[in-house]
Amino acid sequence: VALRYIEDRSVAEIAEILDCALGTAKVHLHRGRLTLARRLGLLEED
Amino acid sequence: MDEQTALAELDRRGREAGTRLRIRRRAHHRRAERAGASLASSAVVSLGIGRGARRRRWWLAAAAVAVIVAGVAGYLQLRGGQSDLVLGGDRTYLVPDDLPPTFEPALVTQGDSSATAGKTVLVAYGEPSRADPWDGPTLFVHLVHGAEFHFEDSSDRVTIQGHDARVSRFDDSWSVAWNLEEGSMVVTGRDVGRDAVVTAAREATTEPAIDAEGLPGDSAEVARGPLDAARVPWYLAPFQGQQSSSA
Repeated sequence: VALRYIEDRSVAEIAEILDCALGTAKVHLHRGRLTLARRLGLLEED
Repeated sequence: MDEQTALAELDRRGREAGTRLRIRRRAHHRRAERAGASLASSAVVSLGIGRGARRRRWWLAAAAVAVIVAGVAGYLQLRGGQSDLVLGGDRTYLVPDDLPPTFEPALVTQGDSSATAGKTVLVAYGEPSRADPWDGPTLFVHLVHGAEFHFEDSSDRVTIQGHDARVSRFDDSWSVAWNLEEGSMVVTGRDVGRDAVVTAAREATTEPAIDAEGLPGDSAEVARGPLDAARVPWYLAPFQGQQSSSA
């Protein structure tokens, strides 16, 4: 999430930085965004 | 709000926060370079990301990301209106990295301010016309509820609104402190001379505020927010050893 928003990195760059597959980076980013959205009250907690 | 809408809103805030943080980070670096300060001592978090970074230990990256995510979350909360920090008009500069390093945590960690919210409020004055008011002369006023200073006779004495007050210097700041029934008042100035800080103190009120007569010509309120209890000791550093209780 930090790489995406603060460093303005693409998912491909994030995957390279984290040394993981593109799909893995997408999953982590999606989960991180969901967590942050819940923390900010944009989404209800599970 | 459904998931897709929530994530779209998050992306919008995140892009905005990221852009502002990058701008502020560049400005901070420029200021540090002008001042000849080492970036190693900067409060700005740098991931140092590059092709060689993939060999770094994963926990280093995780720790850096955790720190930055916490900062982004705090900033997004602030921008999302969930903070009790007041930003007047179209001011857009009160973001992490904008604030003087010693005041930044107090105003950024809004989520942890419940112990002090509505009780220990810090108000900052600067020159709103500047691109970055924190880069110029700034004055701060703060009422520390429940505190009482015990001054040493040898310290720099002045009279503020009929009260015995003391002037202290701390790095590039001057502070004036005095005791009231409600607690202790502190007025601090950065890049402001001793006399200007004393003048501001004479116009300070327990709101807290500094009346316009006590402010330098172009100064106005630029920030108001609760002071994190964890930062109170630092804020009172010029008076260490002179305080009998804290907020």
